Amino acid sequence: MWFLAIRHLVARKRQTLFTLLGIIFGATAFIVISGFFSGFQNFLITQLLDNDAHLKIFAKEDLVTEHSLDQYFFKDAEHVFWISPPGGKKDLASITDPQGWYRRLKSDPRVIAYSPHFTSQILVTRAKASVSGRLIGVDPHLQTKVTNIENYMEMGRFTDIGSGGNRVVVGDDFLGKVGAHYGETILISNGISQPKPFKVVGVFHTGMKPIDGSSVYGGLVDAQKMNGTPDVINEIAVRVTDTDEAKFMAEDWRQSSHEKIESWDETNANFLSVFKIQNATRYMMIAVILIVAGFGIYNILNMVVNQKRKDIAILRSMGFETSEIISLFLIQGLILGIVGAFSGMVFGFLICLYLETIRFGGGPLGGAGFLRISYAPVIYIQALVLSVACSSFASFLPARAAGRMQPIEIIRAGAD
Amino acid sequence: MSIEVSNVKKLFGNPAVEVLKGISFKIDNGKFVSLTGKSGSGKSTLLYIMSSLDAPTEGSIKIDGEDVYKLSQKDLHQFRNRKMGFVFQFHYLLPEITCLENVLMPTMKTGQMKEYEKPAKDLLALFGLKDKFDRLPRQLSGGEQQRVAIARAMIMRPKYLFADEPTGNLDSANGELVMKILKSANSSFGATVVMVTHDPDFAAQATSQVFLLDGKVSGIR
Ligand SMILES: Nc1ncnc2c1ncn2[C@@H]1O[C@H](COP(=O)(O)OP(=O)(O)OP(=O)(O)O)[C@@H](O)[C@H]1O
Ligand SMILES: [Mg+2]
Repeated sequence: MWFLAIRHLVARKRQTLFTLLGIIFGATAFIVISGFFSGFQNFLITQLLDNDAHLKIFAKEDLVTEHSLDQYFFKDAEHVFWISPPGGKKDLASITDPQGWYRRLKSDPRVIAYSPHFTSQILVTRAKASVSGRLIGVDPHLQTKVTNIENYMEMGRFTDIGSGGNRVVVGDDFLGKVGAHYGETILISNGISQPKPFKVVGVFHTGMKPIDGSSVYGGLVDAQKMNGTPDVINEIAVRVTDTDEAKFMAEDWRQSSHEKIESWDETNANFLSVFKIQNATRYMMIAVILIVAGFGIYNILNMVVNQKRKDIAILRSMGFETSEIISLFLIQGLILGIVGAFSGMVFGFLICLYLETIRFGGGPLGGAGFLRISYAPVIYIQALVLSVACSSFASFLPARAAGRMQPIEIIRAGAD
Repeated sequence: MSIEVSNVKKLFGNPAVEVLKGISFKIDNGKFVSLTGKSGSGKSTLLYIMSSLDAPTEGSIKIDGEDVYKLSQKDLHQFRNRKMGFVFQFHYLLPEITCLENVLMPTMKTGQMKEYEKPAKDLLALFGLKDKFDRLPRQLSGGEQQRVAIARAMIMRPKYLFADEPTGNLDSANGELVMKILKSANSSFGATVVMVTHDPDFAAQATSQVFLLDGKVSGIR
């Protein structure tokens, strides 16, 4: 029936073209919308994974309560009454058994590397202005194994921090706020101690505002010293082989430790939930487009089937079966679907290529420079499958109606 | 071998009107039969019933000894494709394809378009349409279209040809031509022809005549 189906399509050039436009539009929109959203999301996720540890082990911040001190005072007393009960944070949260953690991380095959941190809130002062940030004390050689921060250095090298000696690597936004430059010295205090001078030996730019605007990396020893707590660490950053596994590893470790453990997707749950909403919106848009295109095919084929009642009767009288009549119309839908899908894929691809040249800056996460578009084959396969499925389904109903027509009714109707 | 019509009744509508009131006769193969009667006497109804297109309310049609309304769908369609040809008063051709392709449509079902191309051309040439193979139906006159439709009905050399007023819409010259063609199908490859007509002259050219009156056979000659 291919021969006749094609002739039908060619004979109704204008209708064919309009139906085709609907499908092309649908497929194009699918490619562009999907490419745009997944490109954007992939880019952000890559950046997240590049610049931050996949898993973080934090010291738990314990709060002092009325009963925290009971055991130290009255070993046998049942009740302790305070006139003014103690409260607030314990002076220092620290990981109690770092050596135990190191052993555990070393022996876990899912762990690529880990890096102990001592992180503290800091104030950087300059003249009368002060900027708050976070000083992350690291061993630079371990840290570069855990994140790809080396790739985001604008000036200097991350390892220039060395193993001590008051050298820091600073996010570019933070440095801007402070008003200092690469190579200069800035004054850092933890808010309690006297400010100490640190030399800026490197500047990085990850494109993520929260990181670039507040992070200061320094030597582990320097950070500990500034806080007056040598040998204490309060964070371990971990890189794993499979980022999808991180969640489950965190869950695992939580069962058997005192520390607070967060995987990258838990840390960034806000972002990721935005992605979910984006994806839902995207699927809804695409569904609407496909439904509209599907209705286009359905309407036109329904009309055609009605116009072709006599043809159907004649074909039946020549011995063409129900299935052959159905295939006559189904093939038309299929041809429209396939041709439309492929043209839509080409158009979508071209539009994506164009979109990639558009500059794009700002946003909460900082500029990526250009729009990131995904060309994942799965998007194109989905577009093809959806368009073809949608057009076959839309043409199936009219085709089935055509297959059900009995020749006699139509021949008789023609004679009236 | 024959077409056997036995006690065929047909009721239409609600309340039911009996249009055919018990018709029985037999047409031997190789005959050219005309079916005549007043308008509304049930000629078309009977022809459609005889030709497998419309089931009777009662009674049976046996062609080559087989009850056509008891055939499976598959066999019925094969039967129509191989052994039957239809010519309607409205000589409907498929408008998107050329004359030659229209004639070849029945062969498409069996995938024999190529083999039948030459016979189809010969047939059209025989019907005086030698230079019109590649025309679309709407580029032909009514008489020419009717001849193409007959060529289509004859391409498979069917054993049975059913025609409902094939000359009804034609002038006398074209009518004569169509008659000649139908008679030649009957004589050249022995098709059994059943033709409904109003024209007494054409009816008289048949080898047998069946007269209908108010849904009953009023005479056979
Ligand atoms: N589908 C139908 N429903 C109801 N009545 C019908 C139907 N088809 C035919 N009839 C009636 O059956 C009778 C016979 O119709 P038929 O078409 O067989 O007549 P005919 O002999 O071919 O007439 P004509 O010479 O005008 O073509 C008519 O009275 C017609 O109104
Ligand atoms: Mg009639």
